[in-house]
Amino acid sequence: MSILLENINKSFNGFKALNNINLTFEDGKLTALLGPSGSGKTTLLRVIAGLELPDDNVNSKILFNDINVANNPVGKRQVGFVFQHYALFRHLSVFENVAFGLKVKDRKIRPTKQEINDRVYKLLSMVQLDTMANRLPSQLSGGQRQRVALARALAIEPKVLLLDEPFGALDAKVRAELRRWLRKLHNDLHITTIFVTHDQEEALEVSDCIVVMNQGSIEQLGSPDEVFHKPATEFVMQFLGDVNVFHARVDKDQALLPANFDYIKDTTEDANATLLVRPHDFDVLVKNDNQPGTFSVKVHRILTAGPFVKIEFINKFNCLVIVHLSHDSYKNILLNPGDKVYLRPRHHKFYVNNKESQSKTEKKVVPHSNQDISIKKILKYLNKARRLRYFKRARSIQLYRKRKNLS
Amino acid sequence: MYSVTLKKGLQPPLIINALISIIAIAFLVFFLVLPLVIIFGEAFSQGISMWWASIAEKEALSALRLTLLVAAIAVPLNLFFGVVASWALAKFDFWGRSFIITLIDLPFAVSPVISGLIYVLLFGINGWLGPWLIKYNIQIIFAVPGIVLATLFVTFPFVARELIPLMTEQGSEEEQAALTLGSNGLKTFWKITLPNIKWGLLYGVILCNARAMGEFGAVSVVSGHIRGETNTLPLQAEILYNEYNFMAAFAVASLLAFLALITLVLKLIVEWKSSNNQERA
Repeated sequence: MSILLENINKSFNGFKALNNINLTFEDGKLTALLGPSGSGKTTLLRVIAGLELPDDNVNSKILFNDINVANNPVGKRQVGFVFQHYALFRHLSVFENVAFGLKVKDRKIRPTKQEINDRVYKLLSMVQLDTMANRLPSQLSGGQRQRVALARALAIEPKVLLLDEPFGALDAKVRAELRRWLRKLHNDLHITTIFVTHDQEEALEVSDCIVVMNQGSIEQLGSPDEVFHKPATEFVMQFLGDVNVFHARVDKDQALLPANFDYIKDTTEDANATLLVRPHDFDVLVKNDNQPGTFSVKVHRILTAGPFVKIEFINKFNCLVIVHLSHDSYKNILLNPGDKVYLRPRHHKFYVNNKESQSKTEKKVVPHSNQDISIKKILKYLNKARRLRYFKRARSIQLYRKRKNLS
Repeated sequence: MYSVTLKKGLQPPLIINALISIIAIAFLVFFLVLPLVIIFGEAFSQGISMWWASIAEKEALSALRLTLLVAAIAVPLNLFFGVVASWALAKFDFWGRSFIITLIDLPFAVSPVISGLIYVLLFGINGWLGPWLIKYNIQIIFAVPGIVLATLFVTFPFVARELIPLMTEQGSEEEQAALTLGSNGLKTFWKITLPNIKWGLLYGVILCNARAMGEFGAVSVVSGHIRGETNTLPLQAEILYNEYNFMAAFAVASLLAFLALITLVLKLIVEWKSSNNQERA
């Protein structure tokens, strides 16, 4: 079943949780709502389920297969909802939990006892819990509770399956396992499924389609590939994966950058700009070949444990630049802390006022040394703020470790 | 090794330990056990037959009947209102919610005598509604309705106070889950909400009942002390005592104390059951 949302607004005590959302979920697809906490993704999920009502009931529309369900109460929408903390009925056994949706049906359409029994055991064997039917929820592990919640939601044969942070409260190993299992389940059942997550890795791995949300609005909608490789906004780029941020300034007719990139702004106003580079998109050069985009850095720290080598560099503004290299390419250069080398991004994104600036012309290249004083001051200020943030974080990590050692 | 020294450091010296324990036990015996023993001792001082005679007296029996009647009316009503109020207050967030929670505590905050006076000022002959009530020949003050009203007021907070924190802690997620599964409001309440609060509810009802049977101050103001008609057990005990009929007063008091002991045993069972339940949950 396809779902179409139109003009959905929702505010809580003046706080705008959803800001004019227009969205279509395709039939049979597994969609992830991805965003930081407070971005409105759970609210959107609850609006679809009918657990929250949109603010303006007249202009907003929620269509399930072209039928407006905005005025249908929760129970009439036939959605399977899996809560973040599962919300299992604590006084009922696993069997009774799964059977609940069938047992509360009106007498006329309620299946017989035998039918309910068969259906519940079929669902329980599907989630591999048929041996636990008589246990109480408190006697199950987190992953098992999650699967009971899923079986309970599927018992009413929902047209849409909605999952709120389905793997949030589980440990890393169980999470990875359940992720794969959910994908397989979706391939078997083909129910339109929407799940909420703040974990970009989870969204990229499981879903057919990702909706990236921020502050109640949709930042981008697309396949995992599109969202990762062609981020529409700076926010999406920063949220999906690690990224190095370089602050810059667009001033009158020239773009001023922390290194001599040949970028020309396409706005006529002054604006703050950012240049984003993923850690694996850097070339490390031992010698400066004076190509555009090259800048000098000092090696700060090298971490060789792990699937790739993580190197922390410090640039001349005292900012941290993180670079990921494969072990093979690291073997060719072998750095030591304190070494002076050069970095050049292979790919980068340039955003002015949070919008990507695509225009690349050759005419106005502004070398770094040509910055006037005011621009230098701005850059200095921006970098100081970053540095402060970095030290604050380092300090809090230090404090945390201290506390941990003590206890 | 570390934990052993730590434990030693936390343990006070033997003398202090013993001293504190003795003080605590002496306090308990002096203020709780001794009065109870004296009540039963005095009540049975002239033998069981005399005790039975004081209880079987017409006025004492009528007081017992009235006490049970008042509790039988007040407790179910407060059970209903308590559940409704705490359901509304715990599961929903609305403007003025915390004000209402404070208001529920009002009967605890006001002296019981004042709560009795409120009803006298409302329904008494010189009260606001007095002339109207006289016109239609309705007797509230110095009659059973007044006693029931005063008891209702005084015992109102018990059920709600017990349930509000419990229901707030449980949240409304399970109810929401039931709704998404197609259940309606009433079915959700009976199948999900009520089973989850049953032990807390029972506990509240037991406390409410204990207070309803034992209430003195508020009832004393509105009852009028008419023998054999508007005297509850606590009032009867006081009257007998004031008449220097100590044996009979203690006999009636022992009846009340006996009811209280039953309540305590019930409370103990409920506490034990609910903590068992919590361990499983």
